[in-house]
Amino acid sequence: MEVWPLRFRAGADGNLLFSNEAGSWFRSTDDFLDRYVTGKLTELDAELLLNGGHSFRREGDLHHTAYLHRWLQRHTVKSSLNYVMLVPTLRCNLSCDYCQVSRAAQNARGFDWTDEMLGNVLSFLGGLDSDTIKIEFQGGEPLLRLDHLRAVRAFCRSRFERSHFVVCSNFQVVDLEAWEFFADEDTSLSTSLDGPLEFQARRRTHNVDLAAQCFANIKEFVDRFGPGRINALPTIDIYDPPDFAELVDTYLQFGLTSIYLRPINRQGFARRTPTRGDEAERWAALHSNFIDYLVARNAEGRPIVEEYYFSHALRRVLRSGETGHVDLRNPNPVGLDYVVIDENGTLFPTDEARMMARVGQFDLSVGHVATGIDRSKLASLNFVSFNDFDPDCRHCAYQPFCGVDRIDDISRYGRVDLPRHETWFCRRHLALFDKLFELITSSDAKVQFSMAKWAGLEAWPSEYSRLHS
Amino acid sequence: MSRYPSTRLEFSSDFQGYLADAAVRLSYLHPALAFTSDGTGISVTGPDAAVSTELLRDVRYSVYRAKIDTDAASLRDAMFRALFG
Repeated sequence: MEVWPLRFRAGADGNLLFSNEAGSWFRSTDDFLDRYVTGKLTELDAELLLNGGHSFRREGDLHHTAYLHRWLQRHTVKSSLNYVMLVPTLRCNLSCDYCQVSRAAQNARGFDWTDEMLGNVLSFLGGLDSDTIKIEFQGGEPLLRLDHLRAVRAFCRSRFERSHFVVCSNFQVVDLEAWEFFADEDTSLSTSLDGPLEFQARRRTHNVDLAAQCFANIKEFVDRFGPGRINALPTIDIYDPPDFAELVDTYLQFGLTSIYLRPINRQGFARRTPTRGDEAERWAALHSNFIDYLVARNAEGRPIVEEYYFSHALRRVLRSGETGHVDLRNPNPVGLDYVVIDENGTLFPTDEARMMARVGQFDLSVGHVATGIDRSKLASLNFVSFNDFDPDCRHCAYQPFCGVDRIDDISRYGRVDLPRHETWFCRRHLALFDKLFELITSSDAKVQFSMAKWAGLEAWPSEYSRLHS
Repeated sequence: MSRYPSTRLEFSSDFQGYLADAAVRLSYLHPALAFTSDGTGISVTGPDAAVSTELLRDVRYSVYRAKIDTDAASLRDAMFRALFG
């Protein structure tokens, strides 16, 4: 019997989590580890490893083939460009303190697409190989150029078999034309919702009346179109977070049960706020406490609420093929299935790369909408888009579930070769997966109730809390 | 670093080919300490308070990890050949 290489990590209870590169895992002890590394496995060990997808008898047998299949599923990302972020204007009608988006004053001139630029964008979209397209309108405030949004949407509907449009708006000013634009089912809204009214006012609008207008618009959106077409996100300042109960209550008042907690990304214009050096630890504690809060709250029988990123990471542990979210996947090639077109037509691999260029930090542009993608630049960036061969990740039990974000590494540290444990990405995700496996293997009925709901299961499998000794 | 005492962990012959790799990795994971391999063991040099039970466990784990990774190289190569030709 051949055993695929096992990675291991000690848990808080002193036991070990073992995993392989195809994403199978189990819990066991230090004694098992000693038996494994010295080649003295027992019959029970061998049975566990074979049935759990960690070994095979002959190359090409069912166990071997199944492992290769799972490995490939975890490593496959779509190779056709079908997700494009567009920035029709840099103008905005708000000026949030920690906004990382490049923006100009609402009445400024020269910060919108010209007709020529619109034509270039449509030509670029028309040249894509994909039959489907997802367009994300960013800004600035994209609703300030509804005419461009309409033109792009009309073109995509005629060019692609299926198309979907997301407008990322502060949703502060919504006129009749904007409501009409959102009436179509292929169009959804992504907006910011940091907490209760006064909190939102303090963090974004600096004016309670303006925040109240935003809340009224969100409520009207939900009343008109239901909660299924709106995605709201809180941006969390770890030194001034909202009260968890008030945050969740605010979301529930709009019928929103999925909350994607995101720390302030101090990139782009948000770099003006200094960092303090303990963000990763504080974020890990805050996020862990929020998950515990949701578990306790869900157990009381109120509407089930999830933290989106935690649920996504959970799905990546439990299933192969969850590779559609660019924040957490491996490999994470840039410019392959997703690209950003800035207001001036410059192509960027991610929105963070756009911010870096806007503040003059690094130019990671990968072409221009008029001339296409620069494949040689993409190849340089994608040379490091895997975590499989990283000298730290290759020893990590969480490697098959985790991801890689070299743009974030470059943005924060100016390089991609730091030891992983020194990076924000690694420290954040080690803590995330520690929490995740603490809950996956928990025998607490309240924890299992929430985990089953978040994973979309009828009941939480009892074998997940089993310990092989 | 020499003013601090050293703690040495002995490893059986199964692991002696992996000690040097493990010591290098330990050195950047714990930059405040010194790790040296001498062929049959790894010595940790640093303040007493830093050389904890957990650290010595990490030394053992690092050696295990180096062995697992090295020993799996041929299996991993075979997998890539099977998948990508």
